[in-house]
Amino acid sequence: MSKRYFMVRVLFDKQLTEQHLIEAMAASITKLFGEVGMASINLRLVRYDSERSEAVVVCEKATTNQLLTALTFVREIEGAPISILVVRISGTIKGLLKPKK
Amino acid sequence: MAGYRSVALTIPTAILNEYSKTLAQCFAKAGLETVSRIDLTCSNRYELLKLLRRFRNQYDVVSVKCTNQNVAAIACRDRRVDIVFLDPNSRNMKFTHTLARLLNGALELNLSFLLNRESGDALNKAMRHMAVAREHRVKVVLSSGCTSPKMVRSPMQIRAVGVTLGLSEAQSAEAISSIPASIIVSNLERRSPLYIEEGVRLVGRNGSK
Repeated sequence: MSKRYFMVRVLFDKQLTEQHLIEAMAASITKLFGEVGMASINLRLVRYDSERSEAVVVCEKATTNQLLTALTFVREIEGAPISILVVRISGTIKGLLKPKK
Repeated sequence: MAGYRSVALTIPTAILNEYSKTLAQCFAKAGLETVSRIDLTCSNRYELLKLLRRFRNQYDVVSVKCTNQNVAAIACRDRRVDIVFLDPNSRNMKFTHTLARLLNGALELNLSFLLNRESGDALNKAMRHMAVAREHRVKVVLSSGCTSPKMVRSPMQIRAVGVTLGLSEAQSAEAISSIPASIIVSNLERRSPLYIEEGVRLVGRNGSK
């Protein structure tokens, strides 16, 4: 199955752990698309750079729009507002990290 | 950073002249063009027509928040209105087939209403509005409606929300790119001193080169 890799930038005032980030994303997917949606998206956090507030997540190609929507609706973590901005999408991690022309 | 080219600022009339240049400079530093926008909220048609007469020429984009069906019908029919939007949290407002047939401008879906929703009802209502818009091929504008940096989402995320709510991929992409751009271009042209009326433009004066 082909995948889609997302480069996301997290705007959050506090220190954010990998665990918190993936839980917030999973909660948003489950709330919008349910357990079946969560299973079909097959979300995985590939890497997270807390200093640069950047993360790479991966999902199934067919569910790209669902993951984009779910990331849009992540609003808060433990009462503090958060914004997850999708900066780039690619089919490979190499393509994702390639500088923009 | 988020991938936008222009931003429409809702500036209150009282501070429009004072702050519009400063704000435009701030956004220009970040590589963003700015256009002024006004959101009119009225309770009846007389109020709406009065406000349109007063503010149409001062702002680049005029949008009307439809609070009841009467105001919505007038706003949809009036050619001076660029955008209409319905509060998905209000119970008595629906984007009906009649409104879709009357609409001259574009229907706006404001993402901030959905982000701040209290129940799934707002999403359901937005989906029904999009279904009507799709059926009547109404122009749709998807906007962030953000009031703070934490509410900003990238254009591809907003496009994906449009697709999830029932728009086609193409419609959703147009709703965040070409439709808002065309509204801005036509209004800037309309506000230029060379504009006479639709289809009539001053190209030169007698004696000028």
